[in-house]
Amino acid sequence: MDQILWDIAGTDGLIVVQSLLGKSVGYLAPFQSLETVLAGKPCSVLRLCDRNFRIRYAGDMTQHISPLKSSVSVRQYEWLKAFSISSEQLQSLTKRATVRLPHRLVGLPNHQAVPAQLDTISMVIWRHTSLESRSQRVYERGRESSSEKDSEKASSEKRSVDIHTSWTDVERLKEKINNL
Amino acid sequence: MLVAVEQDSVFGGKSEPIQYADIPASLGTVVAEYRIAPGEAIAYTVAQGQYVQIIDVCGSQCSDFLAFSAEPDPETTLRQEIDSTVTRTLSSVANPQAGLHSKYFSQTMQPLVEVIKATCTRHDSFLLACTPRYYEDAGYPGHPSCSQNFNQVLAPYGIASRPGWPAVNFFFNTEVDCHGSIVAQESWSCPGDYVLLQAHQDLLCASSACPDDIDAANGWQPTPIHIRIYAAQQEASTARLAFARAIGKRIAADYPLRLTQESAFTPRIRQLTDDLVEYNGFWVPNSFSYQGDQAEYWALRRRAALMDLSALRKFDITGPDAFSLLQYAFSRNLDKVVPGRSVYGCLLNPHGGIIDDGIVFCFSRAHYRYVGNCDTDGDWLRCVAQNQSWTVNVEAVSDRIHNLALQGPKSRSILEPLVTFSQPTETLSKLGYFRFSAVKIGNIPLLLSRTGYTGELGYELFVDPHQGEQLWDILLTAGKPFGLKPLGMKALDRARIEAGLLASGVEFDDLTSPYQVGIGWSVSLKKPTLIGKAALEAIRLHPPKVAVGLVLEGCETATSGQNVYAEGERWRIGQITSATFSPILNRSIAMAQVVPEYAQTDTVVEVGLLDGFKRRVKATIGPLAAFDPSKSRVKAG
Repeated sequence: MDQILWDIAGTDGLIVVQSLLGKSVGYLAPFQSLETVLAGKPCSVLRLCDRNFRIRYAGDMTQHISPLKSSVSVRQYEWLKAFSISSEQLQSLTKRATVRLPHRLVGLPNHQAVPAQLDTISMVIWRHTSLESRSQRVYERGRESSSEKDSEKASSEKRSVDIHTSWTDVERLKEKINNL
Repeated sequence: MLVAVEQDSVFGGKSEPIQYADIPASLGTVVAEYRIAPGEAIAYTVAQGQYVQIIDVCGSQCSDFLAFSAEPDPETTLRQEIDSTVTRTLSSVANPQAGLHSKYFSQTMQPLVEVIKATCTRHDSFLLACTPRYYEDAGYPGHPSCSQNFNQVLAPYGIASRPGWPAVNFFFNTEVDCHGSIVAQESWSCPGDYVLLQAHQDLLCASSACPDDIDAANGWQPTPIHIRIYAAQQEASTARLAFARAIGKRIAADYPLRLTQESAFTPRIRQLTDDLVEYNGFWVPNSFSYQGDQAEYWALRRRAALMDLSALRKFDITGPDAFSLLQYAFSRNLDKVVPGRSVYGCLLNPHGGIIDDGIVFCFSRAHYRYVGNCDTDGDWLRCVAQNQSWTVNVEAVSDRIHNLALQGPKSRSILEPLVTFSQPTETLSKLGYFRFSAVKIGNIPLLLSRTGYTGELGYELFVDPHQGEQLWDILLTAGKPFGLKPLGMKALDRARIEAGLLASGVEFDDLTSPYQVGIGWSVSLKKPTLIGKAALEAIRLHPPKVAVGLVLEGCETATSGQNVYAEGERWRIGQITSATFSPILNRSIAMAQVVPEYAQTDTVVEVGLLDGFKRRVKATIGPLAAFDPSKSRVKAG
């Protein structure tokens, strides 16, 4: 099944994401991520820069953001596709892919992403631990989520390596990764 | 295959190189060497990995440079060539410099050459190499030009002529002024200045010794350029220093060139990040891989952070008149500063301007240490001492003392089990704010100071560089259970702005008085003599501006130099000096200098973002330190 990605950007990007998902997102550095739950659905939040976030979320993000009347855009980019690979494939990929300084690929930790290239194809490699259960409530609006709470839910978590790339490259990239 | 046309090499690796007396000694193994006569150009090949050194023999001479892939693309028959627009876009700098943003890219974004070292920092990539048209328009039809010279030397390689070549114009002194005009003046380069490039692929290059003698670009007098090509593989011992990445800067006319250096801790830091930038002559980390400035910032505010501040300059001031010198030159009253205490203040000039800010450490009335920002501080102190006929020795000791800062609420807990004081009665918890002591960590002797630049409880550790890496390892290991993280300049800048701490060259320079930048409290006008005292007494009564903190409405961040306006008015009342988004306050904050009439706390002003008109953001005047203005955290008992 296709992953649903929401890209949030704008002056109020940080404020909006914090008000929806808790202050913990403010502690993320660019290309770091965290896992939480929004309206009962798992939500993986990747910070791209100070005010830009990419959120993997199966619900309708616009319905959460519209009431906030803020200066942000919420988009689902038609040209951006995502798919998951296995940990074994990540190992092979890190041997072949390249990154531009100052990014690093070796030892990519969990909850971390990196812009990378495989031959001429550009992608974002995102290692994170998605929350599988839809019923858990790690975060409720008005209550802050915490890494401690996240770790308590580890039993229902699933390691995930997501690849984001252009729709024009997605099939070619999948094939290349499968053949690594 | 390359067309077999080569310029005459002075030395093609077949015989011993000529020893030139008019240029710096070679950096390593030379494989070819060319002397370009004034007003001429040459083409030459460079293999992948080899180095090209472009030397300005006499100074003030421009040398335009072109690089093409050695072979044309078999399908398109086009060659890759340096594209300065691509380069600027990819690197976000006007001209690449040694370090992270060092590569010149081709039209397809492939790196062709990388700047490894440059002893002159002003070059041009906005303008064409000089063209016949330039000279024609100036009334010199037929004047030789770099573009025409390039056409001639590149023709044998099948490269078509162009009326003007978009070259990298090394040593050409151009800049975009505040009106958007590109202005050119005489080159900054001195005799022997050079740019050292490394080829990222096999290249065909062309270099000129610019023939322009009709304006100041070459100091009105074209002179030769010397090219050396070095082997890709150099002796390891040679390569470590001679081919190390460095930016050369001159800090004063009578000072030798200073190349970017590593601190004792840089080898350890390089293991953790590739994001290093030049700061005050040192390679320093911007942020750390898989961590980022946000995490570093929060480690500092919540736990602890370790940072390399070796770029500070240290001077030992010794002799019978050491006290008199500092009492005269430094803003604070040192009368009650006893051994083991330190004070923050500034060195002043006769009109009350700040030469530098720093900390004076008192070892005895005949021995102080000044820790500041500038190599020239020592000369200034020596000059003052000489003029006063004082017996005092001012010695630069920066190369013998490198320093880390361990800052954050957990810093004491991390250090406590590690530190052994020379006096058994001393303990870390008794070491007060602005106190220091000689201690040992393991078998490493160091000077431990309860000071910092973050607005947090913290310590600075001054150590012999030979034991730097060992100290770094001990501290990082000991701090791990506490959540200690290494911290880079991005996070440090955010923290120091929150704490209202000044940055040299940003908040002040030698035209700015302590009363303008918010450290008037550090000036002791009660001292009988103090450099600049008369001027400071007058400035104190009505400084032209005073430093304030601003809290902006909304999340947009201001930038240094943006104007501050009276509410609803067109006229300015001041300027932003530093700004950031404060994560802990969750507000956009700034340090500003405004006219005293608008400096009262709670005054609402406007910050002109963008062009100053399109978006005005309201801001409220407050203390310079937006975070913990009472300094309760740094003074925590």
